[in-house]
Amino acid sequence: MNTQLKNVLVETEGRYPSASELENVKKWALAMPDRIEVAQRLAEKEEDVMTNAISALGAKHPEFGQAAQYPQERFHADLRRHLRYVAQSQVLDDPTYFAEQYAEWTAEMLCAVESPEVLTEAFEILTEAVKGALDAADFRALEPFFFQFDRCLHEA
Amino acid sequence: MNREFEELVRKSEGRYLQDHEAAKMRGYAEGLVARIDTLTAIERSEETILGSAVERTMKKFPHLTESYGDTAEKKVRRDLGLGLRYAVLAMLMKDPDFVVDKLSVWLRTIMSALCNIEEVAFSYEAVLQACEEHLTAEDAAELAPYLRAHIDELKRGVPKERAA
Repeated sequence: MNTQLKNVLVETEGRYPSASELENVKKWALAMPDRIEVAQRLAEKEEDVMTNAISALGAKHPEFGQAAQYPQERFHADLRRHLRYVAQSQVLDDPTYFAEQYAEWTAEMLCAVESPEVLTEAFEILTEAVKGALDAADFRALEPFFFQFDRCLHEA
Repeated sequence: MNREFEELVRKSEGRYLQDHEAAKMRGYAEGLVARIDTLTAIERSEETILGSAVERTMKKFPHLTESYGDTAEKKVRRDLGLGLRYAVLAMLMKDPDFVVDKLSVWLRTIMSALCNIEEVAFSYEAVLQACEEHLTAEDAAELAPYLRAHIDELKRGVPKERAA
């Protein structure tokens, strides 16, 4: 169950959850197989997404990743990790999980070694690469988490 | 939250789910839908379950009416209803710790001070029995471990010399 639903249920202590509360839990559960499939399709396309994003990023910012404190190799690993957290959070349908386990602290850490503007652009390129690799419905399922991370970068 | 599910999420953090993990997650979601149906069935039968459990309790301990007057039955029903609902919520979340942490420990402490905790534990055994009588075997079996966890925690309040 995602954090929001769990909190709703915990707050129903001493009574039965209402029909609408249960309906939300049911919807979350019933959509789980579809969400897993979206993540699996992203996993299958991960190499393509990474190749396209790195190539686009290199063309636009050849200087990026040259700094010793944040080498390209490290950044590429961070991009890959980003995709995986987005996929997992989407499976759980849990923005709170995404924020607490990954997005907030990652944005803070990255902004300590690179400018928010460049990072924003780099993650936008990655997002575009995902958009190009998946069909529209799959991308729509993942998109809120890309937006959420973008907000974290701006707030970091 | 269900420990198995949480463990699965924790272990797969930062990577994609492996096939067997995806299957487990699907299984959890399917189980959750089934447990919602069980919860609805229990809610529908709550009055009957509690009525039956209260009747059995009052019959076994007629002194409750002497001690607590006309409100005895109402209070017993209220407390049993509370325990049942917490157990049902724990079942929905597949987390026996929920009922124990949120209700049983507190109730054990209070009831041990106010009355005979063995009688309280018996009354919840009566709820368990009523569930077996008034629910389908599957629904009763789904709920039983959570009511059992509650009862076991209450029984921890029984003085050692009487527990044996």
